[in-house]
Amino acid sequence: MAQFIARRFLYMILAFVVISLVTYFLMKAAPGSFLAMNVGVNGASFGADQFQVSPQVMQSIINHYHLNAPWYVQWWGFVKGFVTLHMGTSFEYPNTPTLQLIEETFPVSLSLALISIAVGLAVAIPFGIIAAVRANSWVDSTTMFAAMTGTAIPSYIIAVFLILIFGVWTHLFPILGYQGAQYYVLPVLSLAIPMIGASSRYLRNSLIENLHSEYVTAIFARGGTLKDAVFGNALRNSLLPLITTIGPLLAGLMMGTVFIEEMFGLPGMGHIFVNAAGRRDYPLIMDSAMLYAVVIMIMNLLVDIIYGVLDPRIRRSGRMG
Amino acid sequence: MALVEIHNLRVRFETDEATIYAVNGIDLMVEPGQSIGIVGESGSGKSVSVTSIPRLLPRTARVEGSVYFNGKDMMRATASELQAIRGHQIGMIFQNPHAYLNPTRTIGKQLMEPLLFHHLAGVKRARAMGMEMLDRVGIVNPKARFDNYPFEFSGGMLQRVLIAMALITGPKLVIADEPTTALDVTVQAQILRLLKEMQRELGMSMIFVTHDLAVASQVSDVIYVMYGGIVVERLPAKQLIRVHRHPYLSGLLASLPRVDEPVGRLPFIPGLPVNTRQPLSGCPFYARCQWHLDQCQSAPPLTLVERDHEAACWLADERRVANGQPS
Ligand SMILES: Nc1ncnc2c1ncn2[C@@H]1O[C@H](COP(=O)(O)OP(=O)(O)OP(=O)(O)O)[C@@H](O)[C@H]1O
Ligand SMILES: [Mg+2]
Repeated sequence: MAQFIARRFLYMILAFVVISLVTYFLMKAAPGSFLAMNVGVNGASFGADQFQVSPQVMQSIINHYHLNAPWYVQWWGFVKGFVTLHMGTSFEYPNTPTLQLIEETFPVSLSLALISIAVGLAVAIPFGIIAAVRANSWVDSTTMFAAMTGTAIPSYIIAVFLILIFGVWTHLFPILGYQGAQYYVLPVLSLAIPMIGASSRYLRNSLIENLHSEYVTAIFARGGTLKDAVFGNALRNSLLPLITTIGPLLAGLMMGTVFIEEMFGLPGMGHIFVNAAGRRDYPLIMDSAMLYAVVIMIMNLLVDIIYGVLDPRIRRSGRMG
Repeated sequence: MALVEIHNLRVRFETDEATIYAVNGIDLMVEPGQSIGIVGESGSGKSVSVTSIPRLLPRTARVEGSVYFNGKDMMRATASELQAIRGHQIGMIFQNPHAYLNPTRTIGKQLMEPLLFHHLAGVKRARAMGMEMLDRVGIVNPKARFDNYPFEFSGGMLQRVLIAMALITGPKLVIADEPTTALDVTVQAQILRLLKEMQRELGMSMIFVTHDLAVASQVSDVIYVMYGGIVVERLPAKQLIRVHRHPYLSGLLASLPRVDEPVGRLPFIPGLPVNTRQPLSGCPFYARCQWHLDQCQSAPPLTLVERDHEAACWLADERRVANGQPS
């Protein structure tokens, strides 16, 4: 196990380097720069205070981020700053350290994604079980149809529906801002609903496969009921592979939060990320991209470790992956 | 009263592409304490026949005929009646123990299941009985092995566990479907001895399915030879080598591997196995039989050729074939 984690850790470092390089070059390849844009819009259409940066500040930014230095010096500056948590400030928010910005906004995004996964699984698991146990009946087809419909519609369309139904017509839930748990309901639903479809279908198929396997025949031969077969045995074996889908799912959800936060006005990291990209705020682009990458990789690692702990074949032999 | 009475059992599978005629009318009887061997080549319907006794066939199976177990009409039994019989009065041992055990559940937990499912013992008592049973089937250090997972056992050990599991409730009947085919020869001999011992000790009946005539004659009192979903010959195991009548059985015996040949070769008879995608008409062995007659286009009934010995062959009945050879 320790060896596995060590090896995975090395892969993560490698992946991190690659991701930071790719991000860096894509960012540089994008036309325009914060400096040029800033000059263009200074005091004009944007009018935002943050944009009125004095030439002195501009010069100190250029020095701090080595913007006139060769690419590898610049890149290394970003990476080193991120890794040592000395990210400094960004172009757009020169008065707020980036670290503080992240501390304030990232928990919102992460909790939104995690809660969505939890809610999605909490619904998908019973759905999947019911459909599998009643395989090929109307219960199965109805559940799976609903699930498929949910999957086929992207989160932001679902968000629009939810806003209409719960926010505009019935006023059951708030649709904008963040002042308490109820502000999470619609964003979480928007993210969870598409996921429920895919996950419940996955669980259904894997449970059906398990229920048709020989070891389940053997349970019936020992006098077990369908309930014994599902809850004592087959469900656990079907949930194991479902766990492995959570890693990639989370990656998708983290990206989904970017739109959803915008739509519901949640003060998450997504908003900052999008703005940073739009305004060529190099340090902020680098820092947020690296942060998302690290978080997603850590979550994947956690998921794999949990899988290893739950599957005796891996736990006992101590080998993984 | 016989413990198992099967009459004119027919099983079809309706699949998307075809109907498969797996069993085409068999009669089978097991007396209390008796051991029955079923032999026949792959696809002859052995597994399907025996799995229909506890009604464990998949839902795609269409089963006709009558199956009585211990006086109970299994064809009309409700789901809960069947459940009460399975694992309590009928124990099953399968060919591939790895596939028939849940890989993520400990041996001990699975071993206790028959007792717990049938409320024959509480967890504590079941645990003690499980360990005792493991000890009896020859698992060394059952206490430590109890919490192991299937992948931590060898095939032979797992088969012992499966035997323990099938016998832990003291069933009236144990059905062993090729329990030793997946094992190597020495382990196979040990398992057979164990099974036979346990059967005698507990006074159970046994149905033993195998490809191997030698094994069948070793463990059983009566042998049923199946071919193409029917029983082509039924005879006392002691007589197997001496007085077999059906040309198929003769072929099997003739093609048995000899001592000087490499072991493990399966009996081979020239020709194709029966096409199960058509309803059976006539003798299933017709196409491969070197003595077939025009008469064989209509199915020969299973008829008594001597005491306790039946064969389904026109030639056998007329005693023109002795030991499978025309006289
Ligand atoms: N679930 C099923 N669906 C469709 N066909 C089946 C099914 N189970 C068995 N069959 C078919 O029924 C026939 C008899 O199968 P069965 O398993 O009883 O053979 P067998 O004598 O046990 O063979 P083996 O020695 O290989 O175990 C075969 O043609 C097989 O393909
Ligand atoms: Mg078989």
